[in-house]
Order: sequence, then C-alpha cells, then structure tokens
Amino acid sequence: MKIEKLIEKDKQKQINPFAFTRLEARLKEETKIKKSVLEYSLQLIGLLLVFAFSINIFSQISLNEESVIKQTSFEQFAEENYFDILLNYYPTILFE
Amino acid sequence: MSEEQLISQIIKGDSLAFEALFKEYQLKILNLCYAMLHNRQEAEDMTQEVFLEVYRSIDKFQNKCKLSTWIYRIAINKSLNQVKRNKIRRFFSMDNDSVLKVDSFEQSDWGLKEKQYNNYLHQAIEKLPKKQKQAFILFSYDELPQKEIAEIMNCSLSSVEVLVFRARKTIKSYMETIDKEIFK
Repeated sequence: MKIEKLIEKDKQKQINPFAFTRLEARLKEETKIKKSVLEYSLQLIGLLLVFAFSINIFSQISLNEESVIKQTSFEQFAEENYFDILLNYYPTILFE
Repeated sequence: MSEEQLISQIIKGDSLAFEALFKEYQLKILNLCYAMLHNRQEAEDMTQEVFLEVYRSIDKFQNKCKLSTWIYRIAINKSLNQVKRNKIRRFFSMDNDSVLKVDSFEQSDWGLKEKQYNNYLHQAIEKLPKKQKQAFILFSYDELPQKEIAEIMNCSLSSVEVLVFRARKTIKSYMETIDKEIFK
C-alpha cells in the first residue's frame, strides 16, 4: 500500500457536530470564573481596607484608664514637674 | 468577510464570527493534532484548546502574517507540548505503553492489515525528528503549500522541500522494513 493512499485514508473527515457548542460552553464558564474571581478579589480588598481603617482608628483611641488620668491630671503633672513650672512662672512671681 | 473584519468582529465578541472561523479551520487543525498525537479524542480536545487560545489572544494578533499561519503555529506549539507531556506520562506509567496505539474514528470500516499499516505509519511519523515531523504533517495531512509551511515554520522554502523529502524517505524505508518483516 502506498503511503499517500494510507494517509488519505487516515485523514479525519468527520467533524464532531457538538464541538463548537462544547467550546462555547467552556468559554462561557471561563468568563464566569473570571468574573467571580474579580468579584471575590474586590470583596477581599474591601475587607482588608475596612480592617486597616479599623486598626488605624483603634490605635489612636486608648481605653487605658491610667493614661487618661495622666493626660487630665494637671496636679500630678505639676507635682512631677514642679521646678520646671516654677521656673516658667519665675519672672511673673518676681514682679508681683 | 475579510480576515481583518473577521478578527475585529471576534474581538468585539461576535460569536457568529468566531463560529465561522472555527468551522473554517476545525478540520485542518484536527488533522494536524491527530497526526501529531495519534489519537482522535486527544486531537479533538487539543483542537478545542487551540481555539480557546485563539479566542483569548486574538486581540494580540498583529497582521504580520496570515491568520491561518498564526493558528497553525498555535496548534503546532500546543501539540508539541502535549507530545512532551504524553512522553513523560508514558515514562512514568506502570503499563508498558511503548507501542503506539492509534485511535481514530475513521478506522471502523478498515481491514486488519490496513489498521496495522496505519499503526506503523504513525509509529514512523512519531520517530521522525521534530522539524521533519511538522513539515511532513503540514504537507501531507493538511495539504498546505510548501510556501505556507515555510512561513509557519519560519524557514526557507528549500528547507521545507528537504524536510518533507527526508521525512517521506524515512517513513518509506521504515514501512518497507516492517512490510518485509511482518507481511512477507
């Protein structure tokens, strides 16, 4: 048998009629997956941003009671920095 | 519809244009993949992969060559990768799959001798060097003119002639050896 004849017989002549439908379905599925991946990544980014903002806000708010007292108690501050304050008021005291 | 119009329609998302392109090249790409992979089902899957790739990257297609040339290049590259994967799979598989088993839908009405010959033909094609194999398949299975094969393979016309000639010679001598050994 000649090679050419064999090749001619071996060539595929039948086409799968559902080939394009299969291809289309795969393309649609791919687009769907791409869309959902985009949606999920956007949601994730949003969540991360909210988390970062919350951390930023909470880092500035201190609920520690001791530190609040420290900030508000002038008496304690004056006690600790008595000489500094005195030095600061010195000329005024002198002229009084 | 011209090639440029067809491409722009596909980029716009026109599924009818893509279907037209698919129908025009489906059989040619199927034959190319079948000759490379020796299995009809695998060739069908590969044809699907090729057209998926075409759809995904058609916007990157620059009109430096014909659309058919570009599609053939994609098909060759994908088939070669699959051949590599098959070789690796065969190497690691436990069953002795060293003998090539051709699987084709067209063989249902073939005689036993024809089927055997066909197996040997595919074995001979498989044994060809990469370039010879590509040139021979594009020339014999896809019936492409040698000028287009040269364009697809990015080589000169004379080298395609030589590659096809050598491939045919190798296949012929392989088949003759088999013929003498088996069907004497």
